[in-house]
Amino acid sequence: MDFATRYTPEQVREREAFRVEVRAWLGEHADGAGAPVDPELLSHEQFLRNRAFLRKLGERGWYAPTWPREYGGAGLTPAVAAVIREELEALIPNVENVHPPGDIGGPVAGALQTIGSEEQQRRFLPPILRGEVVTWELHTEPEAGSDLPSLKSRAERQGDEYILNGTKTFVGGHFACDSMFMLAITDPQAPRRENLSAFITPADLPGMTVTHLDMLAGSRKCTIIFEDARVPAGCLIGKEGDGWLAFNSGMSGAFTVGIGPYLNRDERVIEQVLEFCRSASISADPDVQDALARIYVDFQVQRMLRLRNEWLASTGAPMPYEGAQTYLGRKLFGLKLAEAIHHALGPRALLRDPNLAPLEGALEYFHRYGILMVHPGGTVEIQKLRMFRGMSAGGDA
Amino acid sequence: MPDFALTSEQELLRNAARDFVQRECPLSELRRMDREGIEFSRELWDKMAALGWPGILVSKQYGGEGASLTDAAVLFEELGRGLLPSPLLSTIMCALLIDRAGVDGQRAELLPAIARGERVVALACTEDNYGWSADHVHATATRRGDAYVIDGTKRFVADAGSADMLVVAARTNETGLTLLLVDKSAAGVEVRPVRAWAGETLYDVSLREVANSPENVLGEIDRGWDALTPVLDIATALLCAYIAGAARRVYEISLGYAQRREQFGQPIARFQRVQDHLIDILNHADAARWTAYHAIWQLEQDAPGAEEAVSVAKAAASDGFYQLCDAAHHVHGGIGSEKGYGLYLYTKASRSLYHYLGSPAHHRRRIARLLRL
Repeated sequence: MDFATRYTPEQVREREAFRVEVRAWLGEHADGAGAPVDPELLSHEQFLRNRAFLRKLGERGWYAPTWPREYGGAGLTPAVAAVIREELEALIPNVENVHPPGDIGGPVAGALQTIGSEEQQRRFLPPILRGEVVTWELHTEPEAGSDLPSLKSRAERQGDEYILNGTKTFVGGHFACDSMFMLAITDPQAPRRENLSAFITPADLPGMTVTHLDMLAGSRKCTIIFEDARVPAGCLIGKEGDGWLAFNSGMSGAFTVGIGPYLNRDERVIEQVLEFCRSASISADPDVQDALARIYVDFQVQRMLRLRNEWLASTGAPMPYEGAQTYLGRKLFGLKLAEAIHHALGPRALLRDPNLAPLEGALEYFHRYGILMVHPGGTVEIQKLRMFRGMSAGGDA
Repeated sequence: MPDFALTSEQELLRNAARDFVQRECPLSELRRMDREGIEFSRELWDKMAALGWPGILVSKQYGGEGASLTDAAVLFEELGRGLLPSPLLSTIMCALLIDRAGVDGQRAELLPAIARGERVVALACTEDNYGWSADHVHATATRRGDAYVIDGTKRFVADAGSADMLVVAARTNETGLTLLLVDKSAAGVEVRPVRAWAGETLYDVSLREVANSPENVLGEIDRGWDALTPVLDIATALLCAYIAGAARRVYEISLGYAQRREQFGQPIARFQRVQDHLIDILNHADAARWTAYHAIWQLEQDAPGAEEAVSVAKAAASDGFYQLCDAAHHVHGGIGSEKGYGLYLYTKASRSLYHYLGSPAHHRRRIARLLRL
């Protein structure tokens, strides 16, 4: 058993040589890229600066470094590609927010890779994988949240186009996007799930109205209404009826794109909180010590389970429940962490005032973010459903 | 990538241990021993000794297996799965103490006998004010001429009934503790069983004017706690592996029951309230397993984070095992409390092992200290 990530001597040589290259390149191009801990405070100017940086990263294939070159990646092995993440993390403040969560494009790339035609892959993948475009996922509808397949948006074929009607909500991210990935009903007579098709469309469809939702934390969200919006037929991914498959292959998380999904911020948060408590002499209180030690144990448990997943994934072993288990654990951990910080720091934990707030308001933000994170990618209850389905399928009892 | 796979030798050991536990100590036998208040079977112990288990961590030079900590953890996970009752952990812990703190003569005399299963040794450390810090030890060993005379009462001592020798921690100085090897038949030693939760047996060890020659001193005078700490860490990590095995078994029992048991015209596993309990059980069981192996791995590397990893593992295992047994009773209803079904044996272990080698609160205090809080 080995809990450490080990590299062969050859991998070490390769990685360190590559690190020199990455460092030199970032030294030249990363200037000005970065984000505040609270993405709400990201200015439009900074957003554009970050976009420009991500495009430059994409030109080298480093935005989706493990993807093949012909699709816009760099064809690197995971071991070597990890160097990019390590260096970005070391250099760029709050790097996970450089790339707002709704903007990543991983799911649509996964869907294209799984069911897109060769022509579609060549047309749509490179701009996504080079970080040239922002692609929003439009899934949730007013009546279709946890029960996504009951969505009502309708795409009707008329000649070379689909006529799109419906409402998507809690979608999108900061500012604007260039393309959109969504599901709509193409065959109202077909059984549940088989009635859906997946589309990748431009973001400036006529007949589209965008309004904004103010969220507790994280990136801003939108409601988008489509009224007789015309979509070219070539925007259909795969064939009609493949929508549910497209959604699931996108959500599998196997298609790593961009900066965000690599990163695990929890480790940094824990370290920051502990350091703050040490320096502010809060931690002399035995109650505070116990609260922090409890959350530290939880954190280590989650870390071990993620390492186990990494190991299982690397061996190709089946993971009937483990993915949902760690996703569930992470959501609950976010809430528990907020509670522990609140308990340890008292009302100080809630301060946002730039002069008085601990860690420049980061803790206040984590608390809001912990609550917000209960829903994206499926609520805690949905993760439990997924997990139990896997547990029963495992059937070792 | 991390690699959590067992080696093929470890797989063999696991399968052998699982077969052994199923064959030699099935539920019916566990029930019989529990009913009759037997916590030690010489016959079972001899069979375990024939497989080399008491000497698993004793070096080959002294007749042991010289196996790795991971090997030992694999064994303990299986023993926990079947709740095999034995003084194995106590004996291995004391063997480690003798090996690390003892002089050549003590090693040569005791380790081969331990490895052969001829000697069972228990650690007499805790007292009425139960706790696993040096501060909790008040028994004294006073120098009289050449001899060290022990006075005090050790309480909550595991396996003192089956042991023929005790390692006693006693105060030789206001700030120093010393470990002594005390023969259970020595004058002034009295071991009395104390009935505990649901028929569990612990022991009171009364030590009155127990005279020890200098050969009985294990390790340096006044430095006993320094010798004991790293050994307690190893024993704690092995105990966590044992708990992880037991926890996994409770998960399997509970899931299987929920899938078979029908109420309201369907298996109760279809009810989300029941599913919630099963999910909690699995989460706790997985947490116990991987934090235990992480602690073992850190100890094996002699890594600077090993103490922290051990405390994380014990806090997670003790709390998790306790809570998952509660959840298993929610899943089972009445049958869970019927002794013949056997779930209560796990519940009993979840209570009796909760404080053993340090409660979650004890280990969280240590984590806080190690994190420099």
